[in-house]
Amino acid sequence: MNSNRGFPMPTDISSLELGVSEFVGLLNQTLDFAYPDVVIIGELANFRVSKNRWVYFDLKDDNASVKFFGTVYNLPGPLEDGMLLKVRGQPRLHNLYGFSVNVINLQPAGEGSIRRAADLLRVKLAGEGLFDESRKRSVIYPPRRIGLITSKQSAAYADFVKVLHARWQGVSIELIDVQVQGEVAPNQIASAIEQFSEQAEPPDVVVIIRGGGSAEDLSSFSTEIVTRAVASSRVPTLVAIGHEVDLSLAELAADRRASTPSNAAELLVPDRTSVLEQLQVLATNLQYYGARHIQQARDDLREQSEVLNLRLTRILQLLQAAISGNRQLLEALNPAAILRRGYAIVRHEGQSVRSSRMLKTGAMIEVQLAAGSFDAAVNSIHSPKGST
Amino acid sequence: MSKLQAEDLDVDEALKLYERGLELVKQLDNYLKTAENTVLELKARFNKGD
Repeated sequence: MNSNRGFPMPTDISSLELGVSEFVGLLNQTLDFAYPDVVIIGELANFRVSKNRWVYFDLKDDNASVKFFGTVYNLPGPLEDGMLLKVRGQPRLHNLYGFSVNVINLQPAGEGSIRRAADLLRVKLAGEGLFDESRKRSVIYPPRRIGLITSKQSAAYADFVKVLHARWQGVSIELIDVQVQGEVAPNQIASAIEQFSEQAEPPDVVVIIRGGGSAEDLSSFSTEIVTRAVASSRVPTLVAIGHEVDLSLAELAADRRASTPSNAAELLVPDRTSVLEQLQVLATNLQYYGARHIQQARDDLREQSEVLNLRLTRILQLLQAAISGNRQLLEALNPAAILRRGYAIVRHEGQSVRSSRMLKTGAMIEVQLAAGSFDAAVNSIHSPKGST
Repeated sequence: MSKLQAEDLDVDEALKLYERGLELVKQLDNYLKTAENTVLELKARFNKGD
């Protein structure tokens, strides 16, 4: 027995006379030494929460019942009487309220209770909108950096990395190695999600994977702490837990769900071979349609050129005809052409003479003919007919 | 051309207008030839580029 707690090591326990508090202290010291913590499985009864913080309940079987005390922070989610629970705790004798077990960890046990606990939690979180489609964000495709949360020793990790690298290159994976089942798993997983969210340059996507297992093995991914961490992740999340038929609450809260870890890798990156084939088809189509468009454009251009050529030729012909018409008209109006028919231009003192009234007898006049000219003197004046 | 066709046009004025008309016809003819040559040059350049 530990003597540092102030109790003497008795040689004969029956000879000791103890006060009540001393007895409680001695018993707790004995319990600390013999049973620092115990794991008890039993049916939940008289479950109640006080002041939204303190939790009281009993675990019972056919022959016995034990009281438990804890806080709401110990709860994996909503519980109800009748569930089978597995509780780890410290047995204590309270100096006023008697014996109870102080809860360290609490989990539903047995497939039925695990499913029932998940159902209750799903209803509660759905009421808060954690699974709403409107909350879902898109995941970058393909991502350049993946934050991976899983167990490094697991087959799920090996499958994911193998499929991812077989399909696509150049994606970096940052792994946070966590336990994916057991008592410490929920806190480790939630903490890993927070770590990625708090990075100065977070990854493009946080991927949480785990292979198949029993309902109890997978139960960490349906706890309240993990489901809330997934829902509140700053980075878009992809969760793949178990096999096709398994559906955890973390998957419901995730931005994207994959049926298996390998399927998660398939959803994250395209298949390189398939992409290369598509690119080949695309290049062929591009070449064919490109050449066809160029030929079409060339034909259109040639046609337009011919139209333009015809229009220009027509305009030039019209202009040529107009000039030719004007030249003929001008020639018809040429005063010299009239002279060739025998007419003459008579000028006196530099001015053309239109009337005999412009002249006087003896005046000198210049007469211009079609060919040459001569000067003459006016002998007599004949007034125009009808004038006085 | 309409001035040249006027009935009361002075013969000396008619001669000036006729001379001016000849000049204009010559200029237009040259302009048209230049335009035709330009069209031929452009067509040749286009066909060469083809």
